[in-house]
Amino acid sequence: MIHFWYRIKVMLRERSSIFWNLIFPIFLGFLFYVMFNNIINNVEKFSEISVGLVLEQEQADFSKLIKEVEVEGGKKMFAVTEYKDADAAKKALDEDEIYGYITVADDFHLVVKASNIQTTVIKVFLDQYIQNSKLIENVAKENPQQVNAVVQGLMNAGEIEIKNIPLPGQDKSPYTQYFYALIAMTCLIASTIGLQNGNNIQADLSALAARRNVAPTKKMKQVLIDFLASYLVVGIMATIILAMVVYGFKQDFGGNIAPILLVTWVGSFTGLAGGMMIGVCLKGSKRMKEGFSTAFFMGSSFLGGLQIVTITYVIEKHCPIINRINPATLIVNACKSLAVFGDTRQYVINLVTLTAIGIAFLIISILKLRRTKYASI
Amino acid sequence: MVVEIENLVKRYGNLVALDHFNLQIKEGEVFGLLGPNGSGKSTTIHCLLSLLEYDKGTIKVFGQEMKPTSYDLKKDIGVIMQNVAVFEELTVYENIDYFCGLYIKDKAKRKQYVEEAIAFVELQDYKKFYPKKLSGGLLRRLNIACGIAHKPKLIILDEPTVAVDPQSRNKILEGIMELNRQGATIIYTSHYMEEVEQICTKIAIMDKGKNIALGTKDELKNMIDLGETISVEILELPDSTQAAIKALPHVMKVEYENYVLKVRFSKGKHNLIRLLDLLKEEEIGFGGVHSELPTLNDVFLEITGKELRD
Repeated sequence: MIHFWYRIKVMLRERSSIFWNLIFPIFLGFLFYVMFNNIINNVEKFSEISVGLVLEQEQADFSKLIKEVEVEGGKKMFAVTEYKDADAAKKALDEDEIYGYITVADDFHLVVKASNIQTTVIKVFLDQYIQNSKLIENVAKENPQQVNAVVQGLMNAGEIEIKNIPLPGQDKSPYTQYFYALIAMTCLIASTIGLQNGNNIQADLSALAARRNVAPTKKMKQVLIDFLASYLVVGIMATIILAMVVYGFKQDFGGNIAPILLVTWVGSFTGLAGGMMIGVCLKGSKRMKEGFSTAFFMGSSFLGGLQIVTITYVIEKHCPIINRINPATLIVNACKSLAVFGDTRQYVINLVTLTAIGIAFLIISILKLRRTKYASI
Repeated sequence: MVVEIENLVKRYGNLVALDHFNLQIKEGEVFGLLGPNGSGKSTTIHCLLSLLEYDKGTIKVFGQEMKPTSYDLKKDIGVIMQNVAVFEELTVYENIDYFCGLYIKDKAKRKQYVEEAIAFVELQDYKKFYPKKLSGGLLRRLNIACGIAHKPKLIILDEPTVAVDPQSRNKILEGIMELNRQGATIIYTSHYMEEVEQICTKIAIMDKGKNIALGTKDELKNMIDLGETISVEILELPDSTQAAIKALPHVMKVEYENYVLKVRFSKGKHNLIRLLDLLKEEEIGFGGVHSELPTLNDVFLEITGKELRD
């Protein structure tokens, strides 16, 4: 047990490991949280856009329409405030009480302070109203008998409903995928620690490893103790990160915390074993192996959608086998299959594949290490 | 025999690192492997420890063939590598405890051994220090403590004093002698001939992967013709006098450079007296006189034609 605890001590005192395996993913999660929170907040406000109305000339139709137009779910699209003149509306705009105001005179005049989703919606609404009004006016002048038909047609057009077909899973957020990719990256960063384990048992790589090799403790025992101690630390760090994502960054993953926690532990196992395999099987300097390990977890995370969420769809179209064996994609898909699609079968398939890959990595490493003598030290 | 190496051959590509190398080390010896850098000392040690695969030959330790899985043999071997091999993240105490733990399972016994090792290398005041806070000499002592804490019967030290200050070097050498007195057989590799002369009871001189000379310090020195080298400070030395010196019995070589006359004698008695008498006869004034007995470097020089530190 002494080796087990000392390995844990060594890991906990390695600042760079703690940074990359714990601090960095939390920091990245925080960035995602801040970035997506802004977008989500904006989207939520979209259903009620504060807009001012200055009626210099009576336009009952427009006034009624803008107050009554609704979005999906029966919520009003605009929160309309009428002002007696443009000055009062401008004051409200300056004080950020409204996103913009519409002055209704002989024609319509929109004033906004900034270009954003809300002001774009106001403008699109106003443009559409003006366009439709002109159309009805023209028809009334040229074919008065067609007015009713045109109005009816426009009304029907307005009733076109885009239905959302809800997915069976509970996670409705379009941004959670980034957090799945973050979890995948967290798991795979463990490869750097696995690599260290691999390096620390090969006599041709360091004097420390040589000293461990000449000890009467079986190499396999040392390897497995290192692995288990590292796995415990890496698993706990992944759990802390997951807790941070759930409780700090408010991602509830559709209430599937426990299954996703299991994914992080299995993913960490695969990451750790992958790093060890790189350390053991790859010939070359420590620095070269470190570079390869970084390329492994960053490359896998990239293909799993850490930077570009849609990359997995592109891969699925052109080279689906990558999605079946890439550890990061398997981690992301395991999370998604349960939280988004409610597909337990697919979750299990991804989890089993991930475990099998991790076990394969570990077995390859062990076979390579067994009774090794080195050609040069 | 504690160690028996027969016909060991190790090649790195076309380079023959060990060329039918033979070695026998008896219990209780302090055995020195002396040779210049690249002569094959470390390769011998690595093969002996079953870390390196070799092309030919047999290696036995304590009468049994040494293999990577010879755990029973490994229990009785302590190794101090050329490079410091400790965990940067563990303290002095923890490092020794960790490495001792690879050999000793009993907790109480291990604790006692660790304390004894710390006392042995005099690191009591540095128990809680991390390696990066230790000076080069202290770090070397920690390295030694990690290798000997489990009280091995055979201790292998591969250039343990490289880059160590003289004070720490003396402590290390005294420590090695003490370990030997306590019953351990020592294998000591170095390219510092003074160290090997100081502590080793038997010495093998290596060059190009071969054991070119083997014996005690005196046996090795007796292998060469050189008896002693006498240096005399002289302001002016005429050529005629130099010729007269060359004609003295047992004189092998005469050099006069920077006001110092250096005369190498083969074996023989009264060389110094004869030389000084001649200088008096020739009325040559002289200052300091030094006589040096042959060193292992002289042995190496005579056998290989080059200096140990070339």
